[in-house]
Amino acid sequence: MVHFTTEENVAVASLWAKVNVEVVGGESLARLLIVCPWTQRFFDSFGNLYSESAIMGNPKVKVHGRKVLNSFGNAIKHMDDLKGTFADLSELHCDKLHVDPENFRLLGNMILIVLATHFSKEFTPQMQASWQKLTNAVANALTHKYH
Amino acid sequence: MLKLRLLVVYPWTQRFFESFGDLSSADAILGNPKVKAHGKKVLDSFSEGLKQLDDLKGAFASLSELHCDKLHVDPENFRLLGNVLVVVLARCFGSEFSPELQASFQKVVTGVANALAHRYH
Repeated sequence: MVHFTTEENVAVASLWAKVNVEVVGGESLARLLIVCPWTQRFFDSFGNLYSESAIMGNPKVKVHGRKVLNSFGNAIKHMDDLKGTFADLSELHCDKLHVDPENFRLLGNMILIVLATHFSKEFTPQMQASWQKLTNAVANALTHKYH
Repeated sequence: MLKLRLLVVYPWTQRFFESFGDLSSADAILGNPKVKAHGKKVLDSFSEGLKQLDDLKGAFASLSELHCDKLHVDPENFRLLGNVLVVVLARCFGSEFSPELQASFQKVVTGVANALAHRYH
């Protein structure tokens, strides 16, 4: 089980309080689809993903990005039991969506980059370390029920 | 700034810098002059690499041999440093760091990491 220190908990929560979930979520998913274009294969039903501007403006990408980041918000409330929190989503991503777990790590890295662009001054090395630990732990939790 | 983040976010990388003195806290790393000097050296060699994007393997051949034979650095660490560089660029350039620019830089750091790993045996 991953253990987060008090400082890490405080750091993550303090930045999370300022995050616009719709903007950061949508941009994180969009960047994943642009920078790692093979991930587009999971979103065939999303319509136009033919260019960077199409992806950035795609309403389905924004909605789904917000949904994904909301689940991160849930993670932050349950940092002492991420595996339990993500058990159902883990089974879904394995059994129904067939997503390679490496993509969870890639999306986690995209979230870090978007946070860095939005929160320049506050995104100190310590803040980055806390969020990196969280995104890694969420990726592991999402992989936990894979078989 | 780059090296500092690598040592703070991925603390196991500190094992390669035992001669650097005090790395016992984020503040110590931040103020460590050897970290700053070496960070600059690493980024200077990265800049040199950017001038030879069509032959990264050639550009980094000697450094690859050095990191394998003398420094014994696991190539995974080159990828970590590349990712930290992308985050630092994102932080510095904010909204200017568009997805397109991110994709280009991601491609470069991956290319440099592969070039540095190329002479490993």
